[in-house]
Amino acid sequence: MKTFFSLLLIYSSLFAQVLKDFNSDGTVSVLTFGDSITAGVGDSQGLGGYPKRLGNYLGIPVSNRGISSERLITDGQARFPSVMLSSSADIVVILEGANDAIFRESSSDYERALQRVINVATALGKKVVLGAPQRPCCNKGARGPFTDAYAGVVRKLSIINDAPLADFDLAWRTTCKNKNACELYVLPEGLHPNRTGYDVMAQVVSAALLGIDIFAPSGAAELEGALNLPKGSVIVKGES
Amino acid sequence: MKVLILALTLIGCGGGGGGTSSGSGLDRLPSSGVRVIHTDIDASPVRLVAGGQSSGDVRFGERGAYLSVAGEVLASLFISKTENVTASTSVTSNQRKSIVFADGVNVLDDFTDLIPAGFARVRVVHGVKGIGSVSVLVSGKTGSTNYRETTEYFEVPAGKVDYLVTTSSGGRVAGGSFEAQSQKPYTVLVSGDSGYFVIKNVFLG
Repeated sequence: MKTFFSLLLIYSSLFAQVLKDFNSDGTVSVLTFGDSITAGVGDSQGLGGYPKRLGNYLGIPVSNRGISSERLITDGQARFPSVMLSSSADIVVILEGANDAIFRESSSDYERALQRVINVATALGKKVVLGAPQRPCCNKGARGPFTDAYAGVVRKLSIINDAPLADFDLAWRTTCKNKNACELYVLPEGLHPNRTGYDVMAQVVSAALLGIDIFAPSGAAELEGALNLPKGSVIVKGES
Repeated sequence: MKVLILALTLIGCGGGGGGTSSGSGLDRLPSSGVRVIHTDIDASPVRLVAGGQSSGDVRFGERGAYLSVAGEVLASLFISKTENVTASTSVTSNQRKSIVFADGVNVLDDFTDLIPAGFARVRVVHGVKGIGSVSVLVSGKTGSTNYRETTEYFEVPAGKVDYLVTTSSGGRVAGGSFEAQSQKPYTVLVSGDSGYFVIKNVFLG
């Protein structure tokens, strides 16, 4: 019984609304931190990847601090403190791993680096949202086993740190129609999301920030209601 | 993640009670008890469990509330929300203790003697990776300490307290000031990683 209530508490905390003015500056703002997938590479011109869509969905400022080719365990964690110290964002969304996978970095090194940047952000009073990297396919499919491992680390640290989870990996698994050559990617490259893929990512992050379990049967409808979107706008599929 | 084996044997007296505390009681100083101070920038939040009480999650740069204990109890330091026990030591005093968590643990004796009116006591705990020892200046009093350890409690006039932490070669690590109340003991915690990120925190005890 005690375990049941503990799990219930953990589950509840993961789906709590996190859009708050944590630093009391009168504005709720978000910073997105990551590599080219945060920067928006592969998107149609001018759409700005998932961060810009996120800002449009929620009507709040979103600062895009994605840098192409960045690895978490080297340059990513190195630049993180300066980005945090120079930002007034209340919430930081962290998504890294696609390039760590090129170098086959171990999941233990990835975990150490991710915990370190979580600690820096949290010590500065920011709420952290963790992104679980989606599995590349096709020309970049060899990175898959590594991003799978990193996604597992992200889920674990999400629970341990009470950090809301934006599970892009699960979204890809539930939403891709072609599991071998997912149509949410630029193909045949298979690493960067296309226009539709970035829509999916923005919907996943929006749900995480609003405390909506987008993978629940009613998740898409709940998000559409919360964002005042027409029925069918949210294309992320639930878990079957 | 570095996981060490830990079983803490805590022999204390006074206090008592059970239940869970998380964040509450941070400004109270019980007559005896044990708490955790988290200085490890690479480590997950931890929780200290002793005598049926839990500190709740304690994150990097923070400290938990004191857990009061009665008699001899087994205390353990866990990675939060897991059953993974981490770090090790034993505490054998009936006074207040702080367990510094940083690449392992170190147990500190906290100040419990009476402090004259008009004065406060202040120590500096060094939790900055990459610096073996630091020099400390607290309202004109000087000292030094090694990583994961503490200076003595300096007796200083109550009111505004200035502090400066430097490397042995004089490089600034951290500094600042705070208002110290008469007859209260304080800990200035500096934690992080040299040249990467350092944060300071001041609290009672």
